[in-house]
Amino acid sequence: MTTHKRITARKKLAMINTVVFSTVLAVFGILFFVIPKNEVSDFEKRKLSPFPQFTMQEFLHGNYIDSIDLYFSDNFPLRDQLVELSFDMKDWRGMKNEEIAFYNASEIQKTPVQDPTKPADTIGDTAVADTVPTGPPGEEVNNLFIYEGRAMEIFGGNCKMAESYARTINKYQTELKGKVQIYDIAVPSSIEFNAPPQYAKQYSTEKKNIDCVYGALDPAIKAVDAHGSIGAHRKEYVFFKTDHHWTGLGAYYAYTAFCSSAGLTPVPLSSMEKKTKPGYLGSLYWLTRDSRLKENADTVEYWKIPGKYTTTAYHKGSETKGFKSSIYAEGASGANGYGVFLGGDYPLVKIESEVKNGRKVILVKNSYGNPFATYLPSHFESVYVVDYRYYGGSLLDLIEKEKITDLIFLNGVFSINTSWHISMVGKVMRGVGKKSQTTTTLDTTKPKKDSILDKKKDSATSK
Amino acid sequence: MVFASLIFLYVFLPLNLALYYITKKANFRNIILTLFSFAFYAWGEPVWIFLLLFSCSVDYLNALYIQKHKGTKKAKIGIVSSVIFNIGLLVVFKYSGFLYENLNSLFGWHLTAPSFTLPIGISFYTFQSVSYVIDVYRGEVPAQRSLLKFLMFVSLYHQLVAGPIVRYSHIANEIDNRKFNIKDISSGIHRFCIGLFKKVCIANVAAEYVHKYMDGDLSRLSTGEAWFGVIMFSIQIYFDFSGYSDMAIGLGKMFGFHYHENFNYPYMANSATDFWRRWHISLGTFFRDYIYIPLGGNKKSAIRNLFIVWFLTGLWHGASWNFICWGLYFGLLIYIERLFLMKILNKVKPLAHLYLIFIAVIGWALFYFTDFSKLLSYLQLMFGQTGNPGWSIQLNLVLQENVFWLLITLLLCFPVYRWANNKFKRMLTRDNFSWMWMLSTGFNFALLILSTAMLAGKSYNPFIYYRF
Repeated sequence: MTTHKRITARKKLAMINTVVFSTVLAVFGILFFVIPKNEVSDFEKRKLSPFPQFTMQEFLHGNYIDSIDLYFSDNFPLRDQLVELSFDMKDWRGMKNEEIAFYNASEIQKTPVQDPTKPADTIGDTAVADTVPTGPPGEEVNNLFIYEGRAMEIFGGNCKMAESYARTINKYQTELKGKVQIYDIAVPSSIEFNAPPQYAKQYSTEKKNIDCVYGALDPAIKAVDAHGSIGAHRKEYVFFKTDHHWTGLGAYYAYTAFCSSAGLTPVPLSSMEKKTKPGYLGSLYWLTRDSRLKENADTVEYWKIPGKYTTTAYHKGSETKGFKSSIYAEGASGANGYGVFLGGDYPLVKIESEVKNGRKVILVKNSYGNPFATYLPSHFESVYVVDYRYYGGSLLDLIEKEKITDLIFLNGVFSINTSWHISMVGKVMRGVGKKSQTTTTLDTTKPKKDSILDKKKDSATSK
Repeated sequence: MVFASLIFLYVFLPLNLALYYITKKANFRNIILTLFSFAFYAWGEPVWIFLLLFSCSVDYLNALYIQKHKGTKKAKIGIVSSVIFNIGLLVVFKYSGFLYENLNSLFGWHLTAPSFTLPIGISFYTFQSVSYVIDVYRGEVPAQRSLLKFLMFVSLYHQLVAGPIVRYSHIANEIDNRKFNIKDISSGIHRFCIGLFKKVCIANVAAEYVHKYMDGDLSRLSTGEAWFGVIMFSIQIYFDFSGYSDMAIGLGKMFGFHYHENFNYPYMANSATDFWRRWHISLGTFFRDYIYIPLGGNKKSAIRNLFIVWFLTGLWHGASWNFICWGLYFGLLIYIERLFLMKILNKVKPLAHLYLIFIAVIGWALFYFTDFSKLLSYLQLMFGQTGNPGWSIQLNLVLQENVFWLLITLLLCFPVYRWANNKFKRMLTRDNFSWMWMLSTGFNFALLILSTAMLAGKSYNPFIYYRF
């Protein structure tokens, strides 16, 4: 009797198992074809894989099919939730050290096409794993170090690179001697001041590197001691915990250092209007999805300078036709929190003030320069903020045309020590877009930003 | 296509199951299974499908020819030509580059090897069809008259790309005549989910650490990390391969086939000899039945036979000297065990187990590095001959962050699941059914969803900069 009971129970169990399993498979499968697809993943800051176009050659190489696989996984139903679960699972694998964690760059940024463990790779048919380049030069993720809820990129620059950066700036001095005053601002990063004492010797090496830059600069160029002025306030909120940028406050201290080099009196913080945006999770959180960072969300603080300004931003390829913009994109939210400064990375932003002193400045920068730029309009008739990565025009032309008096180069130490950035800073002197479009790599490295700008009017993109 | 992909799990498999079970006609089902197998194969390798079809047709005709001329010289010609043909395929498509390279360096020639990408699964399907032809020749199975059924046997996507090497004789009955059995389907699903979990949640995780430690800059590695890296590789290869075998066996059951087991907890072994009775069983038995015994087995020139088999076993794993060395390394160990070591090992079982783990892990280092100089530096590092630090704080963190995962992985190297499943089956009655089914179905569901999350997580590819 009991045996009989057991047999029927097993059979019933088998039926339930089969039905549940097939239903789950079928439901996800059908959902995939039914649900609307997103074009863009905001967290990942990339376009999701579209359905590939068929070409015979791609098909025969297997690339077409690989692209379909990518399309499928990028657009899978509940993908965001499943990704979240996979990061939770990472937490469940063990006990997190609440104090310290390391991330290898290779762990964080995966190559999308590569499946390192296709069965044939390891068993029987040993094939060479195909490696896909991670991305454009100069935009690699660095190794990360998390200490007490603060993520820091591990700095690995060297003096040679730093000097090569300085020589690039020197070329501008040669070109503009006597016409324009040039400033260079080399900005340290979080790890310089926040590495725990036992690691400081190993990780806090940016001062030395910045000295290499400044030592190799033409003496006529004014080297701004941002390191000193930020370092003096290291205990304040000068770097984000979850983002690779400095904060508005960090940029403010660099601005005060700049003022003393440029013979200006900085506007005191107290005479500006302070605004805050809490709950900001920055790039380093989205790279790692580390729960220790999530618990330490940042607050974006910005200070609005007094006065009235007209701001115009220009899209790539239309440097003559600007549109009305603002120094502060107050609607910036979510993963775009840092976009509050200037609204993100436009090739060119022009800010005109009511100041009348005959001084006009160009700030050559990447996203690090955005909060810094917001303080400048108090001291100049016009401020031109040029993102050397995207600007297609020629700086020399712009300087000539607008009668520029001051030229600032501002870069973080990571960019200073990356050859791609150095070469872009050099190329913008005469303009890359004008000369030729031969450098196809450049075009692919430049985000085509219009699509997202159209969607989110004021938050725009941030680095 | 690979099993551990979202498109296989959520499009290919449900579609295949639905179309297969929509009808009861055996012929229709065979056609569906064959077509899906072709699609599965062509998904990654659209060109090589023709090679597969060609190879199948030759062996199909050869077997019929051999059967017709049974016992005559003609049958012998048939078998010889089939063996030469299949080995020829392997030599041309898998080993030609390796062969040319060695000839060039040996004789100073400058031959340029044909640059094929390796046809996926060629090592598996050539072995399957050659074993079939030999079995027909030996009269162990009748030749398959239906080309469709033979194509289905060779191309069955369950085992086409990563084994096990299924013998025709094992499933001959089921090729002609499969029975629907809901309990089989259910246990197949169960098995499949376990295999999927092993592959996605264990092997793939271990693979990240293998990459981190074994492919990285050795000068920055500590001895502890070097050991951890190669232990992770031992875990990766076992869970990857046995996970695939589990999925193959599970899929087989879903469609009414019963494949033989391919792994039997190899890391529980007590000697190299024992290890190879438990690791990739279908390959070991293939070499035993079709090479070792025909050569004379233990009776005639046993030592020669042993080393021929282990040379070939190594070579089968890849066209590179390190695989051959790896094969011969095990051949040598098994030879030494036969000479005297086995007697000692049998007396000290716990030590014997440590010995096996040690030689297996060293073996995997040999297996991993195709570059001998890299292997040498890695081994030097493992044995503290480089002056690198012995340990690093990062490794402590990695161990701490993975402590539960490591425990589960370790546990799964032992038959805990088999034990739990038996217990479950014995406990199951109609009275406790209401919660027992939830346990069982929930278990499958959890494995499936966790694996799906990991697969979706693999597509998470963040950038610091916006890139559209």
